[in-house]
Amino acid sequence: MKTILSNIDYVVSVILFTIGLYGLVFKHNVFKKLLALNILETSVYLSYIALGDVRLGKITTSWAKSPYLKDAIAAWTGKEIMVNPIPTGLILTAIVVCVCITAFSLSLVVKLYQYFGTLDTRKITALKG
Amino acid sequence: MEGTHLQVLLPVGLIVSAFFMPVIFRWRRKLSEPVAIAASLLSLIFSWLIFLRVISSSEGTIQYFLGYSWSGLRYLPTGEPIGIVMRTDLLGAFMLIQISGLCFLATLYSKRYVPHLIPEEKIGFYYTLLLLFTAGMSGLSITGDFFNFYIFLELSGISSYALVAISTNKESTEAAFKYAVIGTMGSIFLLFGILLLYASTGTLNMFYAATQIDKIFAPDAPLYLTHFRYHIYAALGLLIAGFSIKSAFFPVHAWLADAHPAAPSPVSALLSGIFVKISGLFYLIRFLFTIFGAHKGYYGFFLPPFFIVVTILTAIGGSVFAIAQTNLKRMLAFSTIAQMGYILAGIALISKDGLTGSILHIFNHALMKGLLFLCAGAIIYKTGIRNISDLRGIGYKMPVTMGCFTIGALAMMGIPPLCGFMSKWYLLTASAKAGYPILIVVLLTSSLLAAIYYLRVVGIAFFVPPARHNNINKTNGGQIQEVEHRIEEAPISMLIPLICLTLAVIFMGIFVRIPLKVVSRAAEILLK
Repeated sequence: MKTILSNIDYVVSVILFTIGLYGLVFKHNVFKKLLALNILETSVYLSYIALGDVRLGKITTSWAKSPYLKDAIAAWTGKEIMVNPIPTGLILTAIVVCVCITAFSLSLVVKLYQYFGTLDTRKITALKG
Repeated sequence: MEGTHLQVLLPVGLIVSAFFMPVIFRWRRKLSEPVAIAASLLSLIFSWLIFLRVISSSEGTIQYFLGYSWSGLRYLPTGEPIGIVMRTDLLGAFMLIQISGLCFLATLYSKRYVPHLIPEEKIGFYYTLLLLFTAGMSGLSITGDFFNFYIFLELSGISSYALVAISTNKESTEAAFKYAVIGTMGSIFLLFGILLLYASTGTLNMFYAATQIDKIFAPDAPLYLTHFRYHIYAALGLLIAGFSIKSAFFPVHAWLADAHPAAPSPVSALLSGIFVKISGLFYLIRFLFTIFGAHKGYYGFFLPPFFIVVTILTAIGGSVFAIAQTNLKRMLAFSTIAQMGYILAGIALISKDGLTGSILHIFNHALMKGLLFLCAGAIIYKTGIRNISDLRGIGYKMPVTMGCFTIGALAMMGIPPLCGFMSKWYLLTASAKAGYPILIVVLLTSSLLAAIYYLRVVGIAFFVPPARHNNINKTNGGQIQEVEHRIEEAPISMLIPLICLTLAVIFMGIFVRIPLKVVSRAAEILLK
């Protein structure tokens, strides 16, 4: 129980990942698929941001105990008190990428509705075989 | 060896030219094609310069430290490289010349092909996307950093989704939607895998991560390091899942068969010829060998059986599905899936011979599949035929195009003097040496199935007479008149890429020593 509570960020992230995968595979509405895709991406972002959380020299999660991470930060700044900025920077870019993909996919959804008159993936079947 | 500024200038130059493309198109409509051709020609020259520098360096790798000139620092006291490092090894440089060569030919080909497919006011955006796509792929092949890897993967990915959708109709929209959703899912798996790698090694530099993994798996590693082994296993699993989606191995192959035929033909040639390999198989090789060190025996006996099962499914399944197709481009796409299985067979062996065969097949398949898709595009441009059964007698109407197609098809089957034979030969000898007779059976069966579906196309094109019911002269007692064969060949700017690739297919088969020298050295560097 204590392990789960101290790693609650990662537990939530894995639950979100599972929800996203479930929605992507089993839901038939195009919008629900896109929503599931966004949940899937959010779960990864959550893990990254939790990883960067090295607060007041006290390491909050067991994964961030990597001695290299600590040493690298200490060698660079001369102190251990900081939040690791690299995952945040990576995720900032990844969010932009996700926004691009969502916007592009939504524009495709408009086209799909024009061509097929439905948003059900079981009925969007121009390609077969 | 010290890298060159070209490693940064190549992708940045392409991105900048892509950025200015809509402006140029708005200013002078006619200028967009020459500018795109000039940009891709410049990238071809740059990539040859990078390749020559890599091949002349003693260790076969060049490193460029971004921002070194103003910070003056390269490494932390712990030995970790600072900032973004562009590190190109021989395999990356070899991929780079394929990418820029094929992109140059595809841009040349697009000049006449694209105006008949998409509305005139969209042509500028087509070239913008094509240049961004090239930039993303060439960035992927020269980077040495997980962050850059993800950025370039998404850059090339998003531009390829848009390129699939650019000919707005029912099929391409559906294909692009499937491709976008499944491709993004693959990238998320990769991002999660990179997270685990970063958490356990503490670095985003690929090559420093490799040394950290060596430390974690060292037999005398302290307890707090052995704890990270499970993270590495999980990262390996997630990355293999992601790359399987990206390179369309059998259970997750369906997006490729939809997306590649729906794209405009020059884009299909790029997607099938090079993109599916640079984003899937090239990085599978890179992660497995350079970073995870699969050849050092860290992962027990798990990897070869898993990959061999996937190889069997992919090589046989792709070929069987290809036989059932009626659409020419869709058949070529399924053939691509089968060839992914071939390349995976060489990776599964985890030996130098197997990798040599794989990398050689990546190169040869880029030539062959690029050629075949461009031929299919020339047929669509001139006659509008997409179905195989409608190709009757087209060999007399478009002799150059169908001649090139036949040579490509023969190379795909593995007829000896052509290049497809050589790489299959190396894959077969490598699997015999490694003691996997099942792979020999699978590869030969798949080649025979390839002969079935390619020879059907060639046979219909040359040996079945064209439909004659309009030419029966009723007054002449129903005698069939000779059909006049008028030669209606594709325009010269489309024939030049075809002929270049055909000559390359023949040349690289006869003088196989030239690529083999590069490839075997690249495999040695990977397995170091």
